[in-house]
Amino acid sequence: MDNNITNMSESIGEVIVTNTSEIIGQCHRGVPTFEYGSFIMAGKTAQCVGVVYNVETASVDPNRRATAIEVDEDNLDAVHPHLKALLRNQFYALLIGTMKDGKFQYGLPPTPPGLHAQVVPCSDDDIRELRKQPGFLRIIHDSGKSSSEELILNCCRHLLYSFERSEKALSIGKALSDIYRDDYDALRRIINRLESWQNA
Amino acid sequence: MAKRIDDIKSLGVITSGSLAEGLEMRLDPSYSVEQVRAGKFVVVEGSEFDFFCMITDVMLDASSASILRDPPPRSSLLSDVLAGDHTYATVSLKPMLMLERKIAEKDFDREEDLRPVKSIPAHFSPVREASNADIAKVFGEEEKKRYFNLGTPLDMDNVDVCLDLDRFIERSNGIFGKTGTGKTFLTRLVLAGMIRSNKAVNLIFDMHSEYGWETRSESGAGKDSFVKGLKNIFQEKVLICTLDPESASQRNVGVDFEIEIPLNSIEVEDIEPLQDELKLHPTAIETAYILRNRFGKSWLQRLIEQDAADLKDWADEIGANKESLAALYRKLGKIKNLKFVVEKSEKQIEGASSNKASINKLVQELRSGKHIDLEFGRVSNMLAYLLVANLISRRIHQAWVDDAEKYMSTQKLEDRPRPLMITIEEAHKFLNPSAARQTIFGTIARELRKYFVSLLVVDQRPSGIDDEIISQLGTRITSLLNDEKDIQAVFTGVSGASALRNVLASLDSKQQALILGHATPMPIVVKTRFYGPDFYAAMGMQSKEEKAESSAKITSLFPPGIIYPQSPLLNISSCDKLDILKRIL
Repeated sequence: MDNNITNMSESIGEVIVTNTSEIIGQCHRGVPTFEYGSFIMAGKTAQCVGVVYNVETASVDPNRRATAIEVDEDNLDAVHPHLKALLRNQFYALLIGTMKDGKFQYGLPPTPPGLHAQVVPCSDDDIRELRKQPGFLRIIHDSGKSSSEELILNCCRHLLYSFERSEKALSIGKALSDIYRDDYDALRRIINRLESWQNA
Repeated sequence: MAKRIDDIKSLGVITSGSLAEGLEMRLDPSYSVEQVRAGKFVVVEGSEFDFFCMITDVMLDASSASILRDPPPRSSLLSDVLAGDHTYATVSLKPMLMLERKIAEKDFDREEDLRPVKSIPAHFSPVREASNADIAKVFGEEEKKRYFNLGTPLDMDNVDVCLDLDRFIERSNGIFGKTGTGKTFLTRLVLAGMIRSNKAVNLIFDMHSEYGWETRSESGAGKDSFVKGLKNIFQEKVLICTLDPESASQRNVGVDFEIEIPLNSIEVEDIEPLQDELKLHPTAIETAYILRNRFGKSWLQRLIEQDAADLKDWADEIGANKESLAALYRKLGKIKNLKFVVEKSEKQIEGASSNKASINKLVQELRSGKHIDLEFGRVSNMLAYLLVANLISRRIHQAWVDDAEKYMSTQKLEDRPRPLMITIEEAHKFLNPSAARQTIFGTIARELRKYFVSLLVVDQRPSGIDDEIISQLGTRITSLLNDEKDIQAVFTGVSGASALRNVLASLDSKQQALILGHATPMPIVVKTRFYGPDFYAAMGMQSKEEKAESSAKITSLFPPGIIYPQSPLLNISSCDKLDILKRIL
């Protein structure tokens, strides 16, 4: 997981649907897709930052559904080498802010990234920037996406990834406590899971 | 200058409050609730005024009841996350004084500018801990002789809380605290302050002989060591009188006078307050009046000299009730057994030996400005104490009323009587609701301020003191009290007492006292000053070498043999002379 986020600095996808609040991207062929809850950036100068909330693999042709081929998964490539060309990986990301000159500003971007803009994963430095303004978690919470609690938890994991329990965890916890001001039970669930994951 | 909130960390912000109920502060999450203590002095910075407040209560609160229903595990991330924002402490503050901020330091006048609170600060006004400058502003500084340093505020070491002695002597005052909380030390401190400043002359009814000479310290750092008494510190300024010379010689301490009381000088009014102690029926007192009317001054002597067998006939002869007379005879017989009651006249007492003195002599010494510590020695039974205290105070009352009236008529400053403060221990014996109406102390507490006499009431059971008297006390210095009735009594006549109650009940059992009333601008808890060598030196006590040096200086400046007929230095002690010289030079 570490490698996924830290070492992939080149574009691994392209925007195919875009609007004010979210984008849908397609991964380049042969490249592993983004993880659920991970952070991506798209666009050129003021890059839009997003959180992956859905990942799907489907047929390139929307009218053709894949059917079962009953081959061992390890031998799949050898038996049906053409399959890769018939499938595409798509990811859905909520827009949470913009990154300009290395500074993160949370809030919906004034203009979404253009179609066919390249999508890259956020680097460690970018994530450090994001961590300074955990208020963006509220955008995720308010997005109305199903299982936002799960998404927030995974976001937090990515935010804290490779960092020990510390003040950073505390500041994210404080931001969560602000978001879940009226729902102590949800706060308790998320923080306890976050903590058990950290301790693991 | 006091540091403003911009320079220092805020303790919290005001979130709610009212003038009647006090203010609520939300504690800043960076402070641990355990650092906040009741009685602490804090400042709320409003937009135009600084409000000087005392912390009266600390409470825990949570933003949601569900947190309390399902508490986070101990030392978990969740508990850290909740701390400060969702689980927090609120602090109740009692605003005591307000001060307009635009008043410049040099124009500041304590009497005028420190005003009682008539408004409250706005929402979210920041609160900070009081700085040394704030304390000095409110309580004054000891350099000015008017103020006497009584100790330091809670959690602050380098700043003094001072008592305004000018105001202190204006009214009767009380020192309260349950036994073993340092009442005696507090009283000794206050007395030392008054003696040093010479603001008032003191008469101390020293029931347990613990103010004059060294006494044993019961606790603290110097447990079982001996601490200096007022006579040790102030030498000639304090006279030690005793009713029990044997006790003094046994303790190997010097005595200036032995007090003797002529039997004939005891009046019915002196016996009246002893009704409870002697279990006298009111008719017995009426019988005493009959005797007095018939035999005049010698009524008591005549009664005691009677043969028990002849009482019946005697009762018939003088027209008194037989039973009452018999009771009076039996009970007043105890007075005769008191060693200091003698069958001599006052002149005979004074003529007999230079060491013996009557009450008149005592009054004269007080008039001349000497402070008197009257030791009871081993005769510290209640009967002796009540009788003597009442008898002497009645004479003093008379003397001071005469002096004050003279002053009224002449209106000359030199005729102004010296303010006198009478210290009485076990005050509830004199000032309980039934006795307060009869004893002279009731009168003094109520009205003798006009005649320059006030009381320093020392007691461990303030609830036993008449409400009317206690509400007249100007300044109350209170160590720990636990009994609800006593706490209630201390706050009789104090507005907003409910908030202070918590503070009083949470005092340490040693070296802490709550001061409130006339002589301090606002109530405050102090850690009382340490009564030890530093204190003695501050009070002007000199070591042997210093004393020799100063007397040599005086001799060189005023060679013996030369008479200074108009010199004001003639009748004052060598300590005073040196003090005056220092000022002149």
